[in-house]
Amino acid sequence: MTRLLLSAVLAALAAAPSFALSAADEATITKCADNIDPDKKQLSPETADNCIKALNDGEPPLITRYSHVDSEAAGILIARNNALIDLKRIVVKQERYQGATALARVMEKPNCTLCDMGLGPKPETAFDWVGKYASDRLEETESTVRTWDALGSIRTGSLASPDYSMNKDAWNGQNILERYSKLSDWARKETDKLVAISADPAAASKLKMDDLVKVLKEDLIFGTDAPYRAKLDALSKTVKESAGKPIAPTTADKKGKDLNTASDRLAALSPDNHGEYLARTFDNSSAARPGAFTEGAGGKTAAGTGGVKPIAPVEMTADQEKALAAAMISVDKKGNPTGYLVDVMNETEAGKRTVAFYKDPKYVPAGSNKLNFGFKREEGVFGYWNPSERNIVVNSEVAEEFAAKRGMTVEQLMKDKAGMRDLALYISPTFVHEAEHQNQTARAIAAGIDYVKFSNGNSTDPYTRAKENLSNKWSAEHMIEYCSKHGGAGCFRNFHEMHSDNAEKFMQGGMAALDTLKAPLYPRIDSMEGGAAREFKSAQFYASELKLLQEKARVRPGEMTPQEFKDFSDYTKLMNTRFKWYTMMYRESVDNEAEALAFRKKYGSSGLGLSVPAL
Amino acid sequence: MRKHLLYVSLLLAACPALAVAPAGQTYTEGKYFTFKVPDGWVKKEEGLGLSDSEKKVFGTDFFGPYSGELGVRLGVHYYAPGNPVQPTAEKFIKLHAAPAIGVNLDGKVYGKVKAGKAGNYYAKVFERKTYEYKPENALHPKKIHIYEKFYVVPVKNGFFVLNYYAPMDLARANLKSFETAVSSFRPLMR
Repeated sequence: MTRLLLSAVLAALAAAPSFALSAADEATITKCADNIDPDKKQLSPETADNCIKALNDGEPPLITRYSHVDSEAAGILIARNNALIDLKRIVVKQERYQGATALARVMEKPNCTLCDMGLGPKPETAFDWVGKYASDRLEETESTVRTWDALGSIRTGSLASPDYSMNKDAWNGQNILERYSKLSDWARKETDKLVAISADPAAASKLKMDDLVKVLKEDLIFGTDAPYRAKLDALSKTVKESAGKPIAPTTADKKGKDLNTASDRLAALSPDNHGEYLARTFDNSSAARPGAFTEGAGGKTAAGTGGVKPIAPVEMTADQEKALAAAMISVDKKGNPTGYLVDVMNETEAGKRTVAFYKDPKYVPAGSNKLNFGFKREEGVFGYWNPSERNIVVNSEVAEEFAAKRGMTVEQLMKDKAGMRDLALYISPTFVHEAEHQNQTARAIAAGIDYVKFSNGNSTDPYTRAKENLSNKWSAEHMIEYCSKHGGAGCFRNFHEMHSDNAEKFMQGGMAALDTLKAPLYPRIDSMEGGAAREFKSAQFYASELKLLQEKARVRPGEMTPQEFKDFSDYTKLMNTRFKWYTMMYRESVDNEAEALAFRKKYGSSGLGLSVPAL
Repeated sequence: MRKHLLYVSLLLAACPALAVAPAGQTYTEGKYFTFKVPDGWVKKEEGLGLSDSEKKVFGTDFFGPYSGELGVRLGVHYYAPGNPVQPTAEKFIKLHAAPAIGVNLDGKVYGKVKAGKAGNYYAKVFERKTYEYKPENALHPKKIHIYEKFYVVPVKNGFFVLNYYAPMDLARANLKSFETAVSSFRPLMR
């Protein structure tokens, strides 16, 4: 047995020459290794970006070839260069609580690659780096992580008082998000104090009330802080009243209110009237002037309210949830998906791709493309894919509210074919989006890179924002193509406005716009670069062990123990899966961006019948 | 007594002014354009990924005051011929001065495209009122009103876009800063 294992190890080692590195390869590796060596004091995100592109170049990619020479060093190259790219992106693209959450993710969570380069876990350790590579963002970054020196003297003066006994070291010793939490607590207490003080006009007159209120409101950012924000609003109003000033909204407040009110009325206006109305509204004309604009004909919307009196939503029973799901999409005896959703999805390339996934034979052995769709009460959300349970869920409230707007219960809707078609269309963007997540898991399993294991035995690959971008892309393309075939523009009203808005933003700016749009909404989810850094950092122990075993197998193969043979095999597999996951993910994102640009080119010029203004 | 001590701690703290960013300066984007940045606005550098030269799009964004999660933004970009993002000025206007998907969603408002000037250069100007939806993937997300204004300056080779993006409650108060920046705009190539 040992002899067989030895043969396998030697065979693996013998395979290495096919991954031989050229002098140019060596130079690239040296440049990229120097960049991430803290002693060489580079840590350049621009160089890191060039390195990642170069390491992913070639077939097989340079990083794959290098991993067969030195998997530990290759893993570190990928982890650290990606971590630098990720940090730069966070610093320049995100701020405030979202930015803080993102920085906490890359600096304070386990497997912190940045920390290996002296950037973290305390954010203050990265200030010099930010000053060097994103100098215009240094002040914003310091504020984002709520470092003591950026709190401003109103906060530090109060926090240093005997009430809080805080100082710089103690404050900066806290984690990033803990600082936000502490500031919220502080602001709540100070709000109550301020309200109490304001009862004494003489005392209150000595305070710079506007400054205090502004600072306190900046720290009352959590949902549970709402009552305190309301207290400050009331306090501001009272102070103005007591000062004898007329209580008038600011120009911006008034204009914002005007436009907010007007927006609901504008929904039914024809597009030709919008420009005139906008200009008039913003140029100080009265939005409420009778006869100021002409009502359009309106139109039937997703809710289908034309001529129908809506009712209060009626909860489905568990049996109805099952029946509705089955009517939307199920698999017939021949293994073909069928149902209202399938009919809708077969109208578009993105939808056909989704349907085809559920009958793709290459995923059948692993059962990874098994359809498991249902309605379930999940208050507030629209729908989701659960990689652990491997099911797609749409919130039951979605169907209940949809039916109610048509004056029906879901039970009644299920007897209305037109209504069922409309519901299928309404939820189809979510289904395409979530099915793509299932598809991502299936592709990972098929490629053998599903090394994220769940306790129930299911598995997938690491979750990064790249997955969300891809799902959003397919969902947007589905809506755009569907509507280009079915009535054009007006058909977008059949979708939830949030979904249609994604389609619009995709058409305006492509996948880059989707990522920019979504990044602040997913601050806890790793970007592609951040995910790569974390995965290779977490595998670093195994890479180090593998390197030792590789060396021993070369020099003293006869001394290898059975356990070392097993470790050699296991660690090789473990590292190979990570390199394969990384190179697949990288290439997939590049290919999809190119595909998205081509799609926009096709549907942005002729699909929707827009007139082009003359220049 | 307790109330008095608290008052003192806040009063002392309240005296200094809040931090103010440096006064506005002229910003120069390589060989493409210059404009004057509003006082105190903060530059937001482009992220990595495709480089400017790969995209053939050159420019930057500056951020002003915030309202909740969203800030006021001023962007100035040059789109070179052959760029894959916004190939022509006409296409850009088509995608932004009217619904990119051809329908006015959820009460968005699109102004007419009019003639105007950015600095001393002829431009096509339009406004719109759009939304952001938060939180993501909610059945009933909050709809945040956004005001935007665009100046599109076509030149012989490519075109420039100056755009303003602001949560509605900050839109009016900061529009003048944007217009001042627009009036200072100067292309360095045509």
